[in-house]
Amino acid sequence: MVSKITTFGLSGTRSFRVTVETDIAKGIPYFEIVGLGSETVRESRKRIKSAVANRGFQLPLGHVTQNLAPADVRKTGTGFDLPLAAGLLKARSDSPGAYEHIGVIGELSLDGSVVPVKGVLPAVACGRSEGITDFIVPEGNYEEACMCPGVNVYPVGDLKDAIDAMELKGGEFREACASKREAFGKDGGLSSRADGFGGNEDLTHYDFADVYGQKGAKRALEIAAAGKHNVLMTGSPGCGKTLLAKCFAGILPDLSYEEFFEVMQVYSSCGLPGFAENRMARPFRTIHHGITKSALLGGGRPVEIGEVSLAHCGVIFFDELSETPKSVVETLRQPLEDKKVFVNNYGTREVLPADFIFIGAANPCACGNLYEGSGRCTCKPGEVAKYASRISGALLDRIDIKIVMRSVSGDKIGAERDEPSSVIRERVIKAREIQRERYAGERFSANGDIDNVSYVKACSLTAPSRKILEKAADSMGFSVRSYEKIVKVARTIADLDGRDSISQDDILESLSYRGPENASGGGLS
Amino acid sequence: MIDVNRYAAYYWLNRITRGNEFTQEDLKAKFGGAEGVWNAAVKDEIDYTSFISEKNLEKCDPKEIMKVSLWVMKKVSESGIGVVCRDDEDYPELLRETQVSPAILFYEGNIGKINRSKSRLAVVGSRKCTYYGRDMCSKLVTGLKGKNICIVSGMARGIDAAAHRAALDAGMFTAAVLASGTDVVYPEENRGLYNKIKEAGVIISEQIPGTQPLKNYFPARNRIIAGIAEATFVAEAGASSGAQITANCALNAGRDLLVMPHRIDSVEGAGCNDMIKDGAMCVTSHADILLALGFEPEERKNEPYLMPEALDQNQLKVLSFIRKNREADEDEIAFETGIKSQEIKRALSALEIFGFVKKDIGGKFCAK
Repeated sequence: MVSKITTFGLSGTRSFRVTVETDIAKGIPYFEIVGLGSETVRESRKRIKSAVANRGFQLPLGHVTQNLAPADVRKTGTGFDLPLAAGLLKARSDSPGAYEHIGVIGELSLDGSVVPVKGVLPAVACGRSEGITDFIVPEGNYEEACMCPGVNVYPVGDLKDAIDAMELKGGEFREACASKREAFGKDGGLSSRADGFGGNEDLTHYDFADVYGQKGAKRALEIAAAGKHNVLMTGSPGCGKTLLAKCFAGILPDLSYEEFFEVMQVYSSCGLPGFAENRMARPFRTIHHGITKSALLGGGRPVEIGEVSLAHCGVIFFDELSETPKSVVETLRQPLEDKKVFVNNYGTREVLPADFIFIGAANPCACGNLYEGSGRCTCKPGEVAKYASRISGALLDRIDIKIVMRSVSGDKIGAERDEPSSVIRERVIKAREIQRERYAGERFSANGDIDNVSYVKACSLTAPSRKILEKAADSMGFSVRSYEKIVKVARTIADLDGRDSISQDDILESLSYRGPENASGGGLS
Repeated sequence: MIDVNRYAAYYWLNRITRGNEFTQEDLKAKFGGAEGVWNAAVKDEIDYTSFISEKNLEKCDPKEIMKVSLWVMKKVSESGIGVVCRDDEDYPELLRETQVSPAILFYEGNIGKINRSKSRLAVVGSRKCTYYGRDMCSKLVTGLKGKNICIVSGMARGIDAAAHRAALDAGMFTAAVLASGTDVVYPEENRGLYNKIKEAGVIISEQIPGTQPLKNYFPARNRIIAGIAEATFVAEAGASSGAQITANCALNAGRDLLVMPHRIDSVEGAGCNDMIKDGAMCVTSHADILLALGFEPEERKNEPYLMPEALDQNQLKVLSFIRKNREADEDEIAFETGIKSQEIKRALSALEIFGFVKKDIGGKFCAK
């Protein structure tokens, strides 16, 4: 008889269903796994043998062949250990075909305990979409699996638990799951780790109220948050670029449930559960200039998730943008345009989500003091232009808001504290709400992502607004593309103030975020 | 088309005499012009050892240089680039009078107009200049409009480019002296300017066409700039600026040195203030320049700033603050006036559109 166990493989952030078929024929003892498994899958034979023996089970004697169907898709990862072992042990049972309705996933340790694996949430989501509602997952992945609604999840700590749980019939299984869930809730809630989507840093204590001066930059960041606009900050070292960017995380609205689910799938796929105290906070990824192309975009074999995908629905903060090799920075063009990245995974094209707000920070020149005036900059004139050209025009084209910052001198700082982030955040949430209503039914929900068709509808200008913009185009001289960016940002300013139409004032303010045509603020000639 | 043999002779003579003007004149007098020297050389009638050491003669064979000279001039002739030598009528009159004038100049454009101008003014300054320096330089040059004055400069970034642009915009003749060959544009960002000067002015260089701008060619170029003009005007120069080399050249040639004063704490203008302290003429209006160039003195008038009535309350506040300080950034304005950030941004954009202020690097706005 052939036993069939349902499990899931992971490719990028997407799961696909896999059936583990086990056949035990008479013959010389032999154990083989087929079905295009990678090295990790082939090694699982050794783990299964030890785990089965160490948990007191008898390894069935005979000619054992296990197949992972579909057999033409490359499978990688260690989540197949548990279903393979289960298939092996159930193959000689009374009804080896009776377990297909349960999704099983988990890695085995040699003593038979079950350890967590990557990609449990995508697996559960994939199973649910195919009509499977019962799952057995490692205890360590229980929390993320529970995030998927409408499923029964049974956490297991070792192989024996799993084998026993599989024998539970429909109603019993559901009851067992419910009691497990109750017990888990009592154990101190769901939150077990507090590393957050930021990955390395807790950003909750950064507040705009603690940043003195730089009022113009704060306002610009408020607009960026409200309309999902990309930002480039250029300024002297120590003028507060990094600090402001970190505060930016605190004025973003929470993730919606759909977004949260998407983000969790990404994080689950790379084994970073990312539970923070505020679980609905948006991812904030800080990138440093030493990053490689594949770490940024993802890729490799098997495919790794890049920073752009980890920042999905959140923010990428690219510090020292001009110090990053141009070849790396320029790869951002495509995700900024398409909101997703395409990577190659064993010959198949994988689409990873990458919808983020880009915040770049750069120095204006190699010494950094170009903006500080009177002889502070020690760069030669040619070097300044060369430094500025490290960020290409094509990338700058995708950035709506450009901020120029200078150091704040001590005597120019007022004693009073500025608005706290929470007040700004309220305005941002309100503006996002207005946009969501306006763009209901579209595939985007913010002014920064607006496409050409909706642009005409949403960004129509009144006669005086158009007049002032045309006058500005004459005297400042900018391109059609700049023109559209200015109107988009003006649209967000109007939304922040709750105005239906874009007023002259909105256009005037928006013009100030246009920034110079290159990072250093234009040539000196 | 140029007379290849004639200029090849001059070029060759300059090479073998290692640029020594006196030797050249001696030889020309002895053999009847540069071509006479050349012909004598072909017949081996010249005693080279009277002006070059044997060691140097071994290194450069005059016959070889003849071939090279012919080849160079042929190429120049084909490319349409013009040549003048010290004996030509079109060679800049005042440059000829200096002690280290180049024997040959390559040019593109109308070189004769330099001598036909009523007067010539060299305008120099640092490449890394402030908005103030650039702006004032443009204004002073524009003030010389309609007087048939030729503006000579070096087409570098900063002050040089501003001077050329102002001259072209005012319809004045302008000469750019390059450190590279006349067909090599440096810096590349000034290509548009280069084309305009070629059209309406003249591009000059002592280097043969195709020469790249090497570091040591720049001081040599500066002596030509100073040499062509009656007076040299330094718009902005730091404590160690290339503009000071030009200023020294002008003084050595016995020309006037005109300097624009700067704030005493200005790093970019420290060199200028030093020159004034050392006795250079201080320029505070274009009338000063005209006077130095020998024109009738003009009555000096300062145009007062007009406060436009069409502006709203915030715009007026912002504008008067910028005018008071000459330049200010958004945070300074916010701190001093207490106006909200977005209001200031609106006011600044409007003022920029209406042409009252100009955006400078680093988010600063300057009064126009």
